[in-house]
Amino acid sequence: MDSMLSQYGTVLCLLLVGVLFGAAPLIINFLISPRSSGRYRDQIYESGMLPVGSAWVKFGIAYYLFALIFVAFDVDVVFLFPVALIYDDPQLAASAGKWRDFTEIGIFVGILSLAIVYAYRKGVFRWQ
Amino acid sequence: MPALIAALEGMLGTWLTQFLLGFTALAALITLNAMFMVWFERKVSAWVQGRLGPMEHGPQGTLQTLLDVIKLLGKEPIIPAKVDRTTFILAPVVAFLPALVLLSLLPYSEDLVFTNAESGILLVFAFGGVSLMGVFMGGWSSNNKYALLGGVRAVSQNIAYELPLLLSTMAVVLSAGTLNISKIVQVQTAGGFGWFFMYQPLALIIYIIAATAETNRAPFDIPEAESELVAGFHTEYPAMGFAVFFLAEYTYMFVVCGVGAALFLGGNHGPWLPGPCWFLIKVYFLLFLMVMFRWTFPRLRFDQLMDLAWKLLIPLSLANLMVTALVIKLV
Amino acid sequence: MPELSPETLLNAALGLLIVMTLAGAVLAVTLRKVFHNLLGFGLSVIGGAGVTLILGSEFVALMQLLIFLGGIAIAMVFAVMMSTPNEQAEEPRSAGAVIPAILLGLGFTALICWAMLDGNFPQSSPYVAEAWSVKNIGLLLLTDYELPFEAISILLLAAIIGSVLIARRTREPEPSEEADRG
Repeated sequence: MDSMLSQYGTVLCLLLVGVLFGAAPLIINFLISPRSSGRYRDQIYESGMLPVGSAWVKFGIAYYLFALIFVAFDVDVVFLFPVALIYDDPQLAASAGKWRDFTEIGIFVGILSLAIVYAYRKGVFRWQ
Repeated sequence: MPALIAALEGMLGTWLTQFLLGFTALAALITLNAMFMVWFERKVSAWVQGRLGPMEHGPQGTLQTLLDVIKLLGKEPIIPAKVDRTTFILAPVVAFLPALVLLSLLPYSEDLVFTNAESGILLVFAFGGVSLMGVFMGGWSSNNKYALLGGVRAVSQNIAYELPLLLSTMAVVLSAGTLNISKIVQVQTAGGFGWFFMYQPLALIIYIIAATAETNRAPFDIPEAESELVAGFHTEYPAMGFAVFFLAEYTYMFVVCGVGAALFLGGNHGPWLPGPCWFLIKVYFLLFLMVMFRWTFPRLRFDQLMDLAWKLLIPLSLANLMVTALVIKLV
Repeated sequence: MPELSPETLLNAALGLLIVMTLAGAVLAVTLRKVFHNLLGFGLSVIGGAGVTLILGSEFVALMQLLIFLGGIAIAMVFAVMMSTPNEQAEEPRSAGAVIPAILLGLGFTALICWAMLDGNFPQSSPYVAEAWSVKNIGLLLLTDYELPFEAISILLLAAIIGSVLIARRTREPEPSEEADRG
């Protein structure tokens, strides 16, 4: 088996064990703890007053626009990682010339920055 | 048949023993780190405010956290009537789930790396998302307005600070040419190259700020702002549910500081002392900084928090990346 | 040790991950609360990332975790907040909506299967990671595929501009909703 997969095998096993390790204190706690009763025992705690209605209401978050921009930006940044790995590699310089990678990353980041400039100019970051 | 079993033991034995040893070490690290950090945090806050902090149990109150854990174990795990039961119970487990993996990726010394993944840095950030999901699950399933707001805030904040975090580490990746955390450490230690914070001071500053925000630490602790949101996303969690969230949070703090120490401060590199000691010293130095932030800076308002990320840190880290790229070409 | 060869272990892991992916997908469409659907989606994404990893593409697997889980699933949280809450969950599903949905889903699956079976994909040996290491992908992005690489940034710039435009159009007429922000 190649080494990358065996390492991810360890990661998978650690995740599986992680479930047990995370759940164990909860289970022990459940087994040994005392039980109480009372009228307000099972109430939601909201500053000591009885909660009014459910928390699951539709509420408009002005912030969702940031989330959309974030997703696009995130994809960009993840694509930059493999390029950053190979940056200034002699193998690349031999085949494509010395400044090629710099200009390409420059264009990429430049276009990326345009998105920020655009959002800034359009007042997305202004808190109304 | 016995030969088969013996062969099985021979093959699985070494791997299993190594895995179990590693697991025990990581589990001990998680528990001890959380217990130490709770005590440390209280002591530092006391020191800043001119108090004594916990003094009753053990020398300088060192046994205080242990007793707290035992107390929490004996508390009743109340599940309120109107919560979303399955999600509510799963949330702390999901938040804690990546903790072992994340710790296993850190380079404690040259040989002591549990999972020496080639794309270690990306893995750290990838599993951070799982933990965040756990936090939001806790906030949403509680059916509590304060908890829900805390969860939404945690998500918003993580979105904003994920990008500077990725971009500031990318400046280091650009110079080191690898995503493997222990190889980045080797780049810094080999041939008098020096630690990366000398070359990337701006990236280090951005990294520390973004890491503090990613771990929901003060002054970026609006997801659990106790003066406005009761306790934020874990308001409804009593006893061990609360403790597991805390365990996850302190482990994640250790991880971001560990990555910071490996990327910028030369990891296990240092004179006289053995590697793991240096690594822990550097990690706890960064953790000390984070604790000091909490007692030094006032909490940021939500719009200030967003401004800091989108208007300052992201443009700065992009600029830093391009300057780094240019300097690498020129040198 | 033929019984527990690495291949067997690998196949076992693959099986586990495929079950996880499918279970997540089923949860994502059958559960009645929007947030539960989202969690099913997350589970499915993690399983899918694992499958991709075993098939030899580390970078795609990591991208899937970083983008689909850390980005898209997290951004969907906001959609959950803005969707109509649980009253909807109590309503029974109507056959008129479910049957076309199932048919559409099956049709799409069939289309994908047909494309995969019919397509002339170059044969690559499974379990080989070296050819698709992150470094190699970087090299290819800077040499053979430089145009697609730059096109990604332009595409995403367009996506950002589009989302800002659409969001502003829907946002401006109702300032009352702004009062209730997270």
